[in-house]
Amino acid sequence: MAITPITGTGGGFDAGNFADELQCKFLSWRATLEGREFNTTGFGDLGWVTGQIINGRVSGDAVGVLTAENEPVPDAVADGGDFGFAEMFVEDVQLTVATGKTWTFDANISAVEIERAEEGPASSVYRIRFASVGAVVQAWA
Amino acid sequence: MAITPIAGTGGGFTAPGFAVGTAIKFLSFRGALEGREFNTTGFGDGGWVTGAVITGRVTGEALGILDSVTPPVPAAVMNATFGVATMAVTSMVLTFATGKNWTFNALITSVEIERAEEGAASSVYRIRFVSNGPVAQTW
Repeated sequence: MAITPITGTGGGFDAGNFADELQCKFLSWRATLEGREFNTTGFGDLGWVTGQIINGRVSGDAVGVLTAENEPVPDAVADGGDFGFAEMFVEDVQLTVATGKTWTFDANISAVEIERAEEGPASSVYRIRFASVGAVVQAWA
Repeated sequence: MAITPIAGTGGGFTAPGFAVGTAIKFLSFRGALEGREFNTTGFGDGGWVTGAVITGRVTGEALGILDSVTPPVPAAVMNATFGVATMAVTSMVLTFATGKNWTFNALITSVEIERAEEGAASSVYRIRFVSNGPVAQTW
């Protein structure tokens, strides 16, 4: 079966006011749409499990290069003061699979991971983890 | 003992109304039939555990290549209401080889997509499922 694989240029990751402020250069991302299952197993199911799915959300992470020009988290998050809820909430996170093919949603930033590489062999790594808050919109033009 | 291993062509994975509608090209799948055990350990067992197994189901996943033509999930799933019906599939088929398969109704528990680095590889599509009711085996 012939298909048109998604590869090469056209991908992207945007975390609204969070990543914009960082201007990190992202390389790749992955995301999982998943739902919770509730159990409906009962009489008449002949010993087999049954259930239904609801409460969906997208969670995932994006990986980039830690740069000298930009801070790994916005000042509002790591300012030595209160670590607040509002600063870790982002509107309009956009995962771009290819041009015109996106998932868009509001999200909470659940973690920012930085890794300092050994001298010489590699670039230092930046990883941001997110989880959607509310509905997810899929565009596949 | 000579056997005929299952390899080469003839495999397949279909999830009507979900993955087939997205025209994903699948590469492989795995499925596990498992049951819950309830404990029957008691007097007379000589100190050994005993049990019985019931309420079976198949769980598993299928791996494919993300296609640029069709979306990774049906439009009905990605609307304002994330509903029960949209994640249910009738007659999912795991085909081990021609004429050898497991067929069952299923729930899609997750869809994972991964956007590869530019040039490095194709982007990946992974669907995870659980059976929803009896499983029929054809061999």
